[in-house]
Amino acid sequence: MDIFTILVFFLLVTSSESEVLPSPKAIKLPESSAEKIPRKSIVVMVNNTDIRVNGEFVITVDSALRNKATMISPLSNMLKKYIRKERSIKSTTNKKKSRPVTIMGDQKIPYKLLKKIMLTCAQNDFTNISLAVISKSPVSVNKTQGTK
Amino acid sequence: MSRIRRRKLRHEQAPELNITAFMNLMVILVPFLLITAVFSHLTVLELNLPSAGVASKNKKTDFELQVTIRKNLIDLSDNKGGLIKRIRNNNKGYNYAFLSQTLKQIKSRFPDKTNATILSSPDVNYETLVSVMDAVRMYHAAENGELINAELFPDISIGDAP
Repeated sequence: MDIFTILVFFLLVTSSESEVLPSPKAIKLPESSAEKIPRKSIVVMVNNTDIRVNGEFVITVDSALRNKATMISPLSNMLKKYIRKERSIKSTTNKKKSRPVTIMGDQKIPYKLLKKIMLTCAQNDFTNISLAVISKSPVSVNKTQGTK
Repeated sequence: MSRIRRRKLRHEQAPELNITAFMNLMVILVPFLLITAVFSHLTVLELNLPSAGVASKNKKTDFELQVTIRKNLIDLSDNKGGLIKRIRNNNKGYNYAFLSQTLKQIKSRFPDKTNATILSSPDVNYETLVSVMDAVRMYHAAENGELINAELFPDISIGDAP
């Protein structure tokens, strides 16, 4: 029976890893009624202090905002690195295609920061942008709309 | 079944099935599954940006809905700058319910339209943006006690407020 226990645990752990997006502890995602399931893609995380790509620190939010340029160059470099990595694995032709990227942003980040991030992504052909949100049930939506 | 017969049956079969270990496993499994259960489901809002270098060629003649988010109001206008409706904040912030209603009216006038542009001023926070996107995408209504999601303008593009 013991070996069964181990087996069941192993299976459960591996199956729960199929969740595509990491569950963010420090980020409070906005709520939305969107129903699309996230796909596997590069994740740009933005919390109140710093910007991370797939968990790797890129730049602080402060310095990204202070910079007057429309793009965030460290983020751009990081994204380029991922493109190169992908190319070396798949050895695809250098044909331009739109790549998917998921942005997980905190509720409180201003639009100007989001715009910079989206522009940077778009500049590096990551034009298929998904904004990660927490889904809320339509019932609660209805309730909040009822109490206007 | 009579008591005598049952006793006889038990005597013939193998000794009683020992499910203690199995129950132990279940006792462990149930809390484990409860912990890993996802209570907040992550979903995504899709947004398609034109790839860099491709100039957007908009046909200026068509009606194009623009939703402009400003500091304390939301403007609904067409692409020629004509204001359709100005939605001021109520005491709880942006008035999404009224925005949803107004969009519903606009949708009934232009049923074929599926695209809208959200223009945002730089300091609007992400939460507001997502809420407005939600309101523009679809609305929820209860009809005969049944919840329906009606589509409004699901193809959203995002831009800077002028």
